Amino acid sequence: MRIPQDRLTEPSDCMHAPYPELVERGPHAGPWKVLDSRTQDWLASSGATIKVDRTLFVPFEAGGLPVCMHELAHVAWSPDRFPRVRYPLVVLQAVEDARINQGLSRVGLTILLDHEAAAHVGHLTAQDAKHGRVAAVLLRAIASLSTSAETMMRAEVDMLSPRAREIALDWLERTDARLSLASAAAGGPVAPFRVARDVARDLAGELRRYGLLEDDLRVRDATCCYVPEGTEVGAGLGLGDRARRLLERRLGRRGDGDGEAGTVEPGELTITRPPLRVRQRAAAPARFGAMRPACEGGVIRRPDRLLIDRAIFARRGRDVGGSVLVDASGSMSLSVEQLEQIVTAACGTALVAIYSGADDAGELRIVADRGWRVAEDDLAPNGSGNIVDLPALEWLARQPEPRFWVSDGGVTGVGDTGCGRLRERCMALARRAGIKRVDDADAALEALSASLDSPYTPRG
Amino acid sequence: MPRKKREKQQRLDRSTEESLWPLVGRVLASEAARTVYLWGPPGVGKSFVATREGVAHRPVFALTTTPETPAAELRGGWMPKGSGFEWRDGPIVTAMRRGGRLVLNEVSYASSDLLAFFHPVLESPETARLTLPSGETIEPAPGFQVVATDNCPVEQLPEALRDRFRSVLRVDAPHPDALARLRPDLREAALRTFDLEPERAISIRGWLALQDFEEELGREEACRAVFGRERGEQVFEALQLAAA
Repeated sequence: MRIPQDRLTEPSDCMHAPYPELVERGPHAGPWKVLDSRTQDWLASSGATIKVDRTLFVPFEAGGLPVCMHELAHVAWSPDRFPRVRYPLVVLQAVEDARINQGLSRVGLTILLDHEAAAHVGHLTAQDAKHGRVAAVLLRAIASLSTSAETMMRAEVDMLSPRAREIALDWLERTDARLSLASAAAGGPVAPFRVARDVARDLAGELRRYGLLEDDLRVRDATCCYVPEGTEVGAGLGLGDRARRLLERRLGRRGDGDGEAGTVEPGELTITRPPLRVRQRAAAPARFGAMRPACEGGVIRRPDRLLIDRAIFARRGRDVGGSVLVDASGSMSLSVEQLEQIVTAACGTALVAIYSGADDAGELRIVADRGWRVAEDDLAPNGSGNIVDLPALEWLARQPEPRFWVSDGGVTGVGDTGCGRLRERCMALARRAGIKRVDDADAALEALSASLDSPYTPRG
Repeated sequence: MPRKKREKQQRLDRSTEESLWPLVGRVLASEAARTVYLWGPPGVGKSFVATREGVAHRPVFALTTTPETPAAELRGGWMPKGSGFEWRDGPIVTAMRRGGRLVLNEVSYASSDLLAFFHPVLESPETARLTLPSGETIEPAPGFQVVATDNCPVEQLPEALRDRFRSVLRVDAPHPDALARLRPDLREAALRTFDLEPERAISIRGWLALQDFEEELGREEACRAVFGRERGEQVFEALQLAAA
């Protein structure tokens, strides 16, 4: 039996998802949602921590480890609530980042930016300096304290005008020193949050006195977008109205799902087995596998093996042909006739099932098994949505190989909404279990015919 | 006891009190539990209890079924002996004769041939019969018990088979004995990671392996050795941060 070689799923990235559950203080409150920030175009930076919703955004790529460490430090050390402040929140966020990075450095986990990230930060800072945005340069430099980018940022600060440079360097030193002294006094790796709050308040006051602080200050990619509870969603992140609405929807604070929620759970799957009453003639006769030597049996076939391994009997193998899972939701638009064609072509295979769903549940129905199939009435799909792609694939992963998944690749969960994370889980599962996805009924017939070496020719 | 330590111990106690492990132990020791289906996440200790709890003086026969395992392998067959052949019982028949406990791991992976063979094995004592190719018909001896373990709910099995289990128990927390083997810091980590989504979940086995390797390799290398490079880096960073 030829095993399909191509995969319609993407190879995995070189970074494993982090474990915020391990660093979270206090009683364990359940799993966090860990999402790939690269698929969230509304994010203002490469990482984000939303403690109130127990959601972490990190880039799932080889150079994403420093971002992971930084976000985990927010999980461990940042408060659940930020106080309301009378200055742009980004000032407090920058000082908070400095506090976190200093703590990481103290425990031997210094943030080391890769070349691309460092160049990106340097580029943005140079742009801010060129346009005279002193506060932005300073906040970026503060947020980079105790990281590998600190030296580069100090060099950018050195390029400011003399007076601005003096103020900026002074505040870099003061911030670093105050946080260091406070962490030493506290006896821990990280200064208390109230110290960061005080530093940010003082910094904002001084910048305002010098006329360097605008109330609507936005600093792109300066901080990691820690979203504190109690503040306007997206405040201080530099998000536009559309991005903020998207963020609110993802946090579940708006009722209208747009199918791109941050995370969606799969629906509940029910497996049903209607009676298999119709004898289905296979497109190709079921093939008998080669005889296999065995130590037990009724007829001696291999006496030459008596002195080798005593497997003198033989057992006839029968190729079961594998398993086929068909997405029978409305998006696939499979007619009953097409389903019947697949069942006919696949009846050289052991198992054929269809699945679909509605609302928050779905059904996987076994429609053919070992040459028998259900009556035509039982081939009609139950529900027009997907809902249960992930549990259906988990079922398919336990069935005999080769495994085929007839689907357009669209996966959804509860409410028939999809999300990138759910799709990634489905694709990762398909990859692990050697499940080949085919787009439609015709492609399924061709793949089945090829795998069975069948003379069957698809119609059309 | 300091407050934080007390809270941690309470969390640990709750995790075992609220779980079904005490009930699992009583069921396995019960004479009424002739057939038991035990399911839950990987690595929580299902096979561990199935081979140890409530065994009394019974011999234990543990098998892991696969799609390739034929029923004949577990039933038995003719083996050459000298110039002739003699019948050799397979592990299921041996367990039935001796009144032992038969532990079937990953039963949902069994081939359809094997699943069909389980039907007479799981019957009640009044009706359980197995006629062998040798012509002998055997009945299970007193004390014969079947414990099946799996990661999937019993609904994944064919209806006729799942109806034959007198007890179906789900365990969703690690076994307390397995947890007790871990250091407190790793025990807490194990409780926080065993029930994550499959891509991130870390079972008790992983933490026990880390603990064993740590003495010799140090924490960082041990994390890489047990979890691989990418996941090991994440686990190591998280443990370092948690300890800070």
